[in-house]
Amino acid sequence: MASTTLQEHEVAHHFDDLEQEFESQKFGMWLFMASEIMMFGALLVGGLFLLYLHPDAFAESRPHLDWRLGALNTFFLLTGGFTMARAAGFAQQREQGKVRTNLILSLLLACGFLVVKTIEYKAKFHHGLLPGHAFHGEGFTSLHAHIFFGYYFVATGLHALHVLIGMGLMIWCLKVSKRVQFTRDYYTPVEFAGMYWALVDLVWVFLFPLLYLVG
Amino acid sequence: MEHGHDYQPGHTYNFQILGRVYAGLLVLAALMIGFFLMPIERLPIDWLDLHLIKRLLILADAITMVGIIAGFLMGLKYEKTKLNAVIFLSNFAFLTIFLLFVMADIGMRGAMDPSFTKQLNWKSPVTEENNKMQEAPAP
Repeated sequence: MASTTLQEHEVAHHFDDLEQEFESQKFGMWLFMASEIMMFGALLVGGLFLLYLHPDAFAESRPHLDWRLGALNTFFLLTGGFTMARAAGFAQQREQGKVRTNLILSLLLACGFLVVKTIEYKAKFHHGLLPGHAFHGEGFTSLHAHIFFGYYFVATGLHALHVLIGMGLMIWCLKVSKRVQFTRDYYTPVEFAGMYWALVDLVWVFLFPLLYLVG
Repeated sequence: MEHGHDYQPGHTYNFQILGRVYAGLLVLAALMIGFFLMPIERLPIDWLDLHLIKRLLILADAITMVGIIAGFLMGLKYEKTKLNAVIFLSNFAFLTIFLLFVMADIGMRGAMDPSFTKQLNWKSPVTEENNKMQEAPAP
């Protein structure tokens, strides 16, 4: 059995005990999440600002985004959040195999998200729906359509970068799961990767309606 | 490994609750798309801004989803250390203040600064291309 070769987690030398280690890490994670919320929050408020200033550009440009693809990506992200939470739950139960299965499922769903995003970007490039001076879309009456697509690429690009980082965390968790036995006392890597993925979900839940539905 | 006392980090994950949360999120996502597809234009109501109602419904749906994600998937509901919850939630308070300032700015800048419209109507590439086409000599 592979589990017999796994080592138990040991508290890092600069912590007194497991409680101090976990609570310190959790505090750091929440601070990090807070900084991320501030960054994406500013971006979303910027989006609302642009929507208010150029409703014509949003109304005319939004139909060029396929809400079906956005909905599919919403499904991928929400299911990924669910499988990551399950992975953390199985880590608590020492079910190393099920942890890996759920991590791999989450990884595949994240890949699915990026594939859909690539399809969307490809269509935008093909039709010249690009930011600033690169914009050469045809049939637009609004003078500010390029601003919408500028916002679209910045917002979804930054979000996609976070999806990539989340995938990196999942791969890291998979590596840790081959080395260390997760227990009820130590499942921190999977829990924190799951929290990060929930943040990715949370941002998308605002971005999806702002870009694809409201306009 | 010495733990000192019967300390257990975090909360115990309940798969049944997780399943319900996931189902709830999918239903809310479907509802959001339902609001978007709702043909409100056909309703014979002109005393109410139905487009605004539609936007508010979508926004309320998104906020509910965010609450569920933060509460259950991030584990905010089970957070024992209140400081962590305060740190996370205070962000939304700051964002609200930021949003209010932005709204006040948009709403009042025109009254204070007559050049507001000129400043924000950035030159569009579409306009530039149209101008070039108009300026080009006829063949």
